[in-house]
Amino acid sequence: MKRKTTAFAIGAALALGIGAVAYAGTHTMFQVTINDPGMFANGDVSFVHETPDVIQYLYCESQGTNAFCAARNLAGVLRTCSTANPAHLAAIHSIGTDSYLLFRWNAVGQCTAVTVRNGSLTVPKV
Amino acid sequence: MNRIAFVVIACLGVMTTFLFYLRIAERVPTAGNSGEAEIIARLDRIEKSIAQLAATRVGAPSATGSATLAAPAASVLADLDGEPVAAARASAIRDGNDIVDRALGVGQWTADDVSALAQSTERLDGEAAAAIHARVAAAINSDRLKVAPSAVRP
Repeated sequence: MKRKTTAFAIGAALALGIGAVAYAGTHTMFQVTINDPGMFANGDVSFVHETPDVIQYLYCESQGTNAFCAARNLAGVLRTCSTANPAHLAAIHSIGTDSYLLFRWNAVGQCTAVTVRNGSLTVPKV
Repeated sequence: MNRIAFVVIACLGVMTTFLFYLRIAERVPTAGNSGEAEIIARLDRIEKSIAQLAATRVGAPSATGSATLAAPAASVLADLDGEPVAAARASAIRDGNDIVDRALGVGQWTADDVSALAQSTERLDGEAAAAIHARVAAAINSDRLKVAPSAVRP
């Protein structure tokens, strides 16, 4: 009985240990942030996906030669921009399910910057 | 002796006459020779035409006026291809802007607007499509256009 308990305890410890290693490292957990004065929106795609609310979203949609990005925060504020800039398109095409995304817009609705970060900083989409 | 000399001279004379005849015959154009000359002349003309066309295509006007021959060809292409394409593009841009204008009039961006705009801009180049989408984006960002829940996306 004692041997079984020990084995279970070791197994549980190993499992927890492995889990701890898998989720180690610095993580950003950015919800959708909209900064109107700064005219930018950002967030972690995977983290936003995992938030319990059904309000927030953050994405870019590409038609190949043009695209637009959209972000809606928890308050329901939606900001969007449109682009045909090849550099923006390249960044947009690199967005994955675990990416961090930031986009900036101007007064006429054009994207003035699109930043995508792929790496270990974001928590993976479950 | 005299007779032998006479025969030799006669033979030489005949041979000279024959050779002379052969040389003249060579110079006189026969049916075969004239055909050959005509082919050569045609080849020359074709070669010149090719050279003129090549000069026209790289934009170098030639002395024979081949540039003026190229100009009508270009205008024909514009008539057959360019104008309908430009007209279709202008029409698609007009349609897209009309959709945006209608939505701005109502103050709401619906799922129907999304699909109608997608349809009208699907054949447009990226710049033109992005310009129309930017109008929607600017209106949303300045709170002049409210996105209906059914639209989900701008």
